[in-house]
Amino acid sequence: MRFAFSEEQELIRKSAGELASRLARISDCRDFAAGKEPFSAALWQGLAETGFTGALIPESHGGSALGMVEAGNVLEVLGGSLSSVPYLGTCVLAAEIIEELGSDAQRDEWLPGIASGGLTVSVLGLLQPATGATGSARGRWAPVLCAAGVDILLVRVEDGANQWFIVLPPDSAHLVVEPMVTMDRSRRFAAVRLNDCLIAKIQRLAAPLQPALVSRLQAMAAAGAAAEMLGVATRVLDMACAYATERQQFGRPIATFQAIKHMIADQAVALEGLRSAVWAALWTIDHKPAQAVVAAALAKATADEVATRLAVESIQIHGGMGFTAEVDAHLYLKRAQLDRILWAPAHFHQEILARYLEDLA
Amino acid sequence: MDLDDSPQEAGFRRNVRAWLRDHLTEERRLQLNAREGRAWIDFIRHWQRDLLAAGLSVRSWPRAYGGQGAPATEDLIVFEELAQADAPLDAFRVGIRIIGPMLMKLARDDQKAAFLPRIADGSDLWSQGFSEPGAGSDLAALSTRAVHRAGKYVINGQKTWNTLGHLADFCLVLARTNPEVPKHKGLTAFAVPMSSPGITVRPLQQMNGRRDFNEIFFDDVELPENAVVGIVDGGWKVAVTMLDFEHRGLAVLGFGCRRLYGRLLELARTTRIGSSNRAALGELDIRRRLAALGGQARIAVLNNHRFLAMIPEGGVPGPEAAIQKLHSTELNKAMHALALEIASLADLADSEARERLSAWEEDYLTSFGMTIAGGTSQIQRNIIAERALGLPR
Repeated sequence: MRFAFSEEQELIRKSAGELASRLARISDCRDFAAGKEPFSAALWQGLAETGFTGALIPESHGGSALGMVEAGNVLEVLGGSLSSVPYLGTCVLAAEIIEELGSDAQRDEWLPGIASGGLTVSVLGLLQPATGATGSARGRWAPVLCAAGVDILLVRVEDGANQWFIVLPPDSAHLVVEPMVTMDRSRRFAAVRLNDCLIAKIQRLAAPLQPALVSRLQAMAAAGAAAEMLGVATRVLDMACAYATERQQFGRPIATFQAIKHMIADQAVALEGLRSAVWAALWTIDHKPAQAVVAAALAKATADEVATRLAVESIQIHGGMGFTAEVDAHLYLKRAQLDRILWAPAHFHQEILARYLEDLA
Repeated sequence: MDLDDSPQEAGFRRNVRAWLRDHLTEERRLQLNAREGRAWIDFIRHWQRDLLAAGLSVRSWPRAYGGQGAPATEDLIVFEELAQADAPLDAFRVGIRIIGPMLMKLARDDQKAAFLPRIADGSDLWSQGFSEPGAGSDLAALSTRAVHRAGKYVINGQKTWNTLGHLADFCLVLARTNPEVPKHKGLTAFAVPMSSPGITVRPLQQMNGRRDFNEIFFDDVELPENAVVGIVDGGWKVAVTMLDFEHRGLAVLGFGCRRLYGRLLELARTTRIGSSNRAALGELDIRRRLAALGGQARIAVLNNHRFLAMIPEGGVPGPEAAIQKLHSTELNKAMHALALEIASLADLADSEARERLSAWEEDYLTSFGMTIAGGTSQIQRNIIAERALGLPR
């Protein structure tokens, strides 16, 4: 038993951090909000050059065949730097889906593209598949990250007892992709509608989707999103400590007042708990698939509570400056609020835990 | 990263479980609950000896002091399994988890040889003489004096909140040897035999009805110079080292929280609400609150494993121990509050329901001590902010 990262895993954390400090600075986040790009092409390029886009892709298809722990470390850094890229959808979920369900030809067509950074993907319907009369399907989803800016969409459809992933370009005639403007401008979201369509007429991944893989994908999405939120919460606590140390009132730093100091200490306790929950969930997905659903639900439920709370309190700690757009605190609050609802509705993961009380023991 | 036991660890864990199954019999538990005072301590002493003989106590201590020189992970496995088995209250924890580890870092070799093996096998029960009526959270403000006179130290003063001092063989006393310097710099630690002339112990009645702690009065208690632990006027380092180990020791309560969560589920499953046939476990509100606490209990266990990996083998726990202490003691309190609430949902006209409520009442009241003992939750927050996060004092 050793609940600590290996040297290789520490190197990945460090190298991802260096990449973000070059290509995902907070000024980049503000520029992105003011621009038109669907996601930061420069950062995506950097992730491809360091090999991070291929973290979960087999070596035979140009990847490095690492695990969820490693991908989660990258996501933690991407969350903390408020980056705009579709890493979780493309390099984690789509990589897993295509590897598991694609034919040889489909794997050859798409996996090397994901590994090299040449292909981006959004995954829809992980919780609510498209459904309809026999042989057809339709559905609506929002918010969807980067739906208008990726190369392909993988949409989960349910046809009677069978489930599939169909493959569509964002400009497909079957789809209506509307921009969804939210308070979080660090990423682009969309509301997506799949109009009633005949499944047989649309390209799909070769193998049908089994319930076990659905659970696994939901766990990967939850743990991955929780890792991003851990990055957000870590950064928020650092900023609160720095500001409370530097800001003077009544002739001393406000961090010396226990109203502030104890609030921050409680944040540190919550953050350490979040770290344990997230890192354990990532490891459980790699090594104990049967326990992944509960581990990931704990990570995401904890992240929803902790990242949001820390970001909310950070505004208060920053006082009047916290309410301005000049100080960055609000960017993290907005990010955390969207992270809470991006991959599942609010409280979804708390409800999973309430359903599986015995498995928490 | 590996959250699983290695094959060796798994084998060791199986052995611990098997031993506990064979030795922690129902009969032994009943006897334990029926005893008080010296008879209770003697009973625990036997239990401690059995644990040591089976290699299940102080495993990470050096062999010379009664241990096995095993990695700290094995101690953690023992703590986990003892908690899961509801093993008897660990009366010797002050010696084993706080004073023993401190002695290994700071005491002279002759003190280590004299004290450690007798702590390990339960021969000597140790207590801690830190707090005073005028020095609780502000420990360094203590006023018990130790005056050096004719080759001896003479101690005068009063200690309080002293756990099990009325049964103890030794007390680790912090006293002021130099009143002329800033308050942290004039303290010295002493190993004081409780049989020394001039010591009076007065038990205090606690809010949970028990009498575990005491006031101790020192009237011209004479000690030889070699009773000093560490260096003269270096007592603050002894105190801080002990407190770090104490937070660590209390953090093991995280394992207790997991066990408590299991008991909470059982309580909710078997409690019918009022005179209805509805189990408390079926109520959505109760399920949500159980989920929140169960999640935190699992996190407390994960924290224990993760923070262990952060301490170098044989090292002193850092300020992260305060994070564990604060988290697990507050969680323990919240879990007992929910237990009390669930137990009181039952039809209390039923005598069994009343007995059950009464048992939870005692545990509920006991849970309040943990967020005060060994540094209040408020002091833990100061430690976390100042030592872990580096915020200004």
